[in-house]
Amino acid sequence: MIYAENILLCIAVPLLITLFFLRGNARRCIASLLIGMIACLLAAYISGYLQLVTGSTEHNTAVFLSPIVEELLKCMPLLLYLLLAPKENELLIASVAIGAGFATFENCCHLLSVGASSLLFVLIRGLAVGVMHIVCTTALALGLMVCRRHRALTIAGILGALSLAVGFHGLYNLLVSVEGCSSYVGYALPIITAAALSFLFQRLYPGEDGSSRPSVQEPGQDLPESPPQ
Amino acid sequence: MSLTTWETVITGLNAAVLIGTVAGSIRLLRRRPRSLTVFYFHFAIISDLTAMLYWLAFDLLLIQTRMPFAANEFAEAAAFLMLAASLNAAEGGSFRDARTEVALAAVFGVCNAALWVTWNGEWAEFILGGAAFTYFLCVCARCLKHSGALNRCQWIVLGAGSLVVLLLQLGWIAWAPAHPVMDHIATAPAVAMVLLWIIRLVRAIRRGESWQRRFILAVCAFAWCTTVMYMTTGWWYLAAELLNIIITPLMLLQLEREAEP
Repeated sequence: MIYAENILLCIAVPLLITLFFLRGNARRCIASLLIGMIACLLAAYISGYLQLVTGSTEHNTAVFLSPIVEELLKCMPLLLYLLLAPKENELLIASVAIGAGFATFENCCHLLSVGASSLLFVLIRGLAVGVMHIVCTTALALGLMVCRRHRALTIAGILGALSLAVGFHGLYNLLVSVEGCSSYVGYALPIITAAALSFLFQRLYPGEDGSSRPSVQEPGQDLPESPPQ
Repeated sequence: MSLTTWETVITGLNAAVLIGTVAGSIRLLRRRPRSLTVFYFHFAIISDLTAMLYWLAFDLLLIQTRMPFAANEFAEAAAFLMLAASLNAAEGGSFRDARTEVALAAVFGVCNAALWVTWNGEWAEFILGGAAFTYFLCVCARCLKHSGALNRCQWIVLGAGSLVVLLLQLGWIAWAPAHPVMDHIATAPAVAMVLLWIIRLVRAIRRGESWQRRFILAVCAFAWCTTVMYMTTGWWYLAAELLNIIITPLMLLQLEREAEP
């Protein structure tokens, strides 16, 4: 048994103090990292509760229910960001940081409970689960941004974007839950998707100087001037 | 080949068709970037594809495991809501315009969800998924009424068909000794109704009816086919899934007409 709250306190306090010394995107990034960690802790509580309510085994809860709970909790701060109407690149930074914070805290707790003696295990944990959370949150943010651009940020649009993240997360958990060939596919999936997302990101947000840095865009800015439906 | 292998093959085929439909909808979205109908349809098909891939992986890896509520149910609920939003964008009007039809569609959806819970035993997935599906059916009914896609006779056939399907399903659940026979008796009319939807859609295409009306008919065929897939197992399920494979690109084709100059 590990004391997840204590671990969170230990990691969060230095980051919290850092916030007083930072401004702009750096502060936003650290704050989002913290939010991701808190979301991870809450997700663990809620998944445990759902396990009791549904009478599922620990394995089934981790494979089937946890992806939904975790993605819902990561989605909430992003939706709050959207309500505050930040620029698109700010939202992307926040989403990546939330994913990274979530993955960091989850990895910390996991390594403390099962040990970190095997380098291969640690690498898989970092490159697969770590990247998967970042990919899911970034895809979710991209989905929400596309919805906002099309003036389609409705319940259906939000659920649609969320279903992509939940589906990807669920598929990963399902693939790695069974040992053998499927687990290798599962471990490779986040890295491949991260590469594809990075390519998509460069296509969607080419920098003004031709670099791949995201340019600042307002909602609906790129839409052509054809009459609405 | 065994039934399970056939199921996996046809689910894989369905996923391949969905990938093709997603590619087609991306092309369409580039031609009509402001069209909300195309936008919602595109995301609905992506959600459906996510659900299908998840189901395929589950089928291959953990078929014997109990699944209370999982990512595919979530993706399916999202797909229903987005298809409903796509219909709303294609055809205006309000629920007040079609109170009777919407009320009957709601009753049909709620009864179906209740039957699924009784049959499957997993209340969470069917209550949450059932709510989204019932809303989708209500939007279908409203759009059918508002667009005038069905005449009076066809409405009567739809109403009677729905009632027969519900009663037979209830009989199937209540009358356990006759399950093997009742399975066929209860499912055959439901599959026949899917064929009727497809025939009506083909007639609409031949007559050159408006793209909105054809799209609504294609989505309604999809809704009915999904209902049949939820209520059946075995070979009947495969038959319904094959029909679903035909209907999915048909929905996209109706939107292609929208993008024509």
